[in-house]
Amino acid sequence: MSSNDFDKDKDFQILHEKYQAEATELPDKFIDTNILQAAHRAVQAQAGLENKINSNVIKRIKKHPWYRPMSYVAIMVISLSVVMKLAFDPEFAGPGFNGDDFVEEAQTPEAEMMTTKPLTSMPEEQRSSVKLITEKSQQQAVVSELKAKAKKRLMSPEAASSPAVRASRQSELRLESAAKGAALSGPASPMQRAMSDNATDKVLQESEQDVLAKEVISQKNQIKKLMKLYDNKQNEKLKIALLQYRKLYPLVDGVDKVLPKVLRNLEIKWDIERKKENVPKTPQNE
Amino acid sequence: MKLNDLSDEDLMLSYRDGTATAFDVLYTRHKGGLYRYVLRQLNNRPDIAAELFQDVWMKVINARLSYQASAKFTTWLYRLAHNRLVDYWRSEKHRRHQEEFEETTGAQVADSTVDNRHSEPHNELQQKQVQQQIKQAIAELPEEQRSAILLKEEAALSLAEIAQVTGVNRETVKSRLRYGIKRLQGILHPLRSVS
Repeated sequence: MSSNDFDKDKDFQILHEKYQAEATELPDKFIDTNILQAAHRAVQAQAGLENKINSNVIKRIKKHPWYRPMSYVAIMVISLSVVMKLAFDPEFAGPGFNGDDFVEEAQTPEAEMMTTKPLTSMPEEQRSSVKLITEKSQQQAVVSELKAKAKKRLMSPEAASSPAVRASRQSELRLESAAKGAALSGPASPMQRAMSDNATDKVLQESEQDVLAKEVISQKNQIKKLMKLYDNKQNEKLKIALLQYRKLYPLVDGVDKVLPKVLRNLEIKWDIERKKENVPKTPQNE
Repeated sequence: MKLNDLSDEDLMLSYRDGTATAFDVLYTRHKGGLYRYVLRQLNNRPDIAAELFQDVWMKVINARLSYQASAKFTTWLYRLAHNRLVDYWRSEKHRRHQEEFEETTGAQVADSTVDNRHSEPHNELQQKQVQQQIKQAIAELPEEQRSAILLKEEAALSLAEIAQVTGVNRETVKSRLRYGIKRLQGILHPLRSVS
């Protein structure tokens, strides 16, 4: 029996007829009013809330007109810097970072050998080629690390602070570059080695020139100060200042070409006096 | 297009989108049927019926933002009402009322049904008496059968829609309707000859 069959059923028809004749009850009017008011209030509240949110956003934008453009610019700058970093930084620009390269590399027999088989189980030829690849990559890593270190140190403001520090750093750099040379003298190609040498030397030369220029300026300033003391005849202060100067700029082969002759003579004179004073008194001296 | 020409679903969507007057039309269309459905389910007690009726419409108002016209509005509305009634029946208070009601009115309805079975309604008074009998007989039906008959009468729902509202399958609804009408035959048979 479907829904229509029910409608055709005699009993149901009578029930429907009689029921509908009686179905006249309605809710009280105050209930109607309550419900309709609640419905209208709900819509108004919703509209009010939406308006409030919208007006708040508009107010904020009006109050700070730079708000939106500034955020766009910030996003642009950040994304650009990330892209630049990924594109040019050697740490990120390695072969593993490019998806395609990574896949290609992984598919080469060498890479396969490196990942799947242990070294001892390989034949002699394969083992030597695997070693060669490993050494190559290690050397490259060492060179890039050294370069970064050298750059950082030489660019720092304290680089020109004192000749002692400078000398030690320079020697460090030389050592590092020597180490780099040693690293490259292995299985890397002569072309690669030459290129890497050139790059490192360039960095070193530039940094050394910078340091020297700064040093000359500071030495000249020191001498100016000393001359001032000499002109003012402040001998005691000049004595101490000359000692400090000498500590900073030691004599090279017993000669100081930069210091004026007057000051150099004074320095020698005071040096002899100091030495005399320091000699212990013996009966012979007495 | 006037609001009166819109379907229930369109009116509800319009109300959801902020047209308050759409609700007025919707309410006017369904208030009578829904009220009577709740009233009959509660054995014709208007105070409780009014409370539950308001609750159902408040649920409609509060659920407007999540309303989607995936089903018929009437089905959704009567499902809300059905659920509210089920909640009410579950409360202990109602059980007590139900027992009291059965004790006091059950015997009277049975007597009046028997008395009027073989008499024919000739005037208006008799007509009213018959209608009263139908109302009371419906109130006497088991809850499932009463629900099915009222949903058919008041909301004009199909068997499938009644099944959706009451949460049972279509065949169950059909048998509930059949048994419900069978129970009412005592009142309906004498009227059959008249109509």
